[in-house]
Amino acid sequence: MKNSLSPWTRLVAAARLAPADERDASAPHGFATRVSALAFASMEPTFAMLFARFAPRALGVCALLMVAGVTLNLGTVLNAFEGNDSVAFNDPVGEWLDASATSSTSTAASSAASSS
Amino acid sequence: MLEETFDLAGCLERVRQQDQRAARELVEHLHPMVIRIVRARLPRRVAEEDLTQEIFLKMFTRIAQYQGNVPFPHWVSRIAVTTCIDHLRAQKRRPEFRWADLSENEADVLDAVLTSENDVTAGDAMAAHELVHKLLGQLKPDDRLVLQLLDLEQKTLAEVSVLTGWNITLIKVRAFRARRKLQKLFIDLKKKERA
Repeated sequence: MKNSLSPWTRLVAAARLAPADERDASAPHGFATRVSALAFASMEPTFAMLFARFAPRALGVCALLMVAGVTLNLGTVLNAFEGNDSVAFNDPVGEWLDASATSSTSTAASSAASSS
Repeated sequence: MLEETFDLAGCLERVRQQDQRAARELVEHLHPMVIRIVRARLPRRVAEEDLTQEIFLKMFTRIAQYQGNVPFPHWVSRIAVTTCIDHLRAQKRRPEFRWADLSENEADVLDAVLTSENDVTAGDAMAAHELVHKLLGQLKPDDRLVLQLLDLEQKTLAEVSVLTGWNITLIKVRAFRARRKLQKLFIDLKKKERA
């Protein structure tokens, strides 16, 4: 008589009749001590671990600050590209460079005058 | 069977307070469960003790993440199963399945299931068991795992879901595809046998 079940079903049904694994399942001598020592050694925080833990958060905060900075100053930046030179008027670095250039020129002129 | 008297919650609390003795007790308590999972799914060329150690180290590393939503042994079982699956995935190539590699008993069992004329006897159960593992070795690790859990260990879909983290639909689809692949494998074997 032919069996209507699939070969896999018949095979796996036969395999389930195999006796259970009788091997000793308890931990080998010293295994628990070794594993727990390794685990606690790896759980001690190191600088690298702290860095790995906090670096993504710091990166996220930086990204947020960058986005907020760009968003708040977007109007000014766009105006600058459209020919409005308000950026140049409110440029503290440019002003400082101009001031230092002026002072260096006057110093050079006064030193030239004193030498002559 | 895990001991009923073991104070798991107390032991976990002490482990969280860096008590090494509690950690040892926890390993000894969970070892029988973990080693059974490992032995049932041991990849080729991997020592069971090394894999068991890796599972326990992962358990200790992630122990702060355990929220108590599922029983702790279930949580550890999932770590064990996923670690075994990761090792199985790392095994790129599976050896080709050939009649010549089968023992006489395994060949008889395979012949019996392919021809459907003779029943597999209880005496051939070990050979059938070996053959099942050889056939499962031809499948991808995820397919292999789902059939091993559902068909061989007769776990329910819910139990498989807890162990693997896969949803029920995914398990059903994987099982269906895996059985279809096995069906194809049986057909190929039948052709080879006739040839």
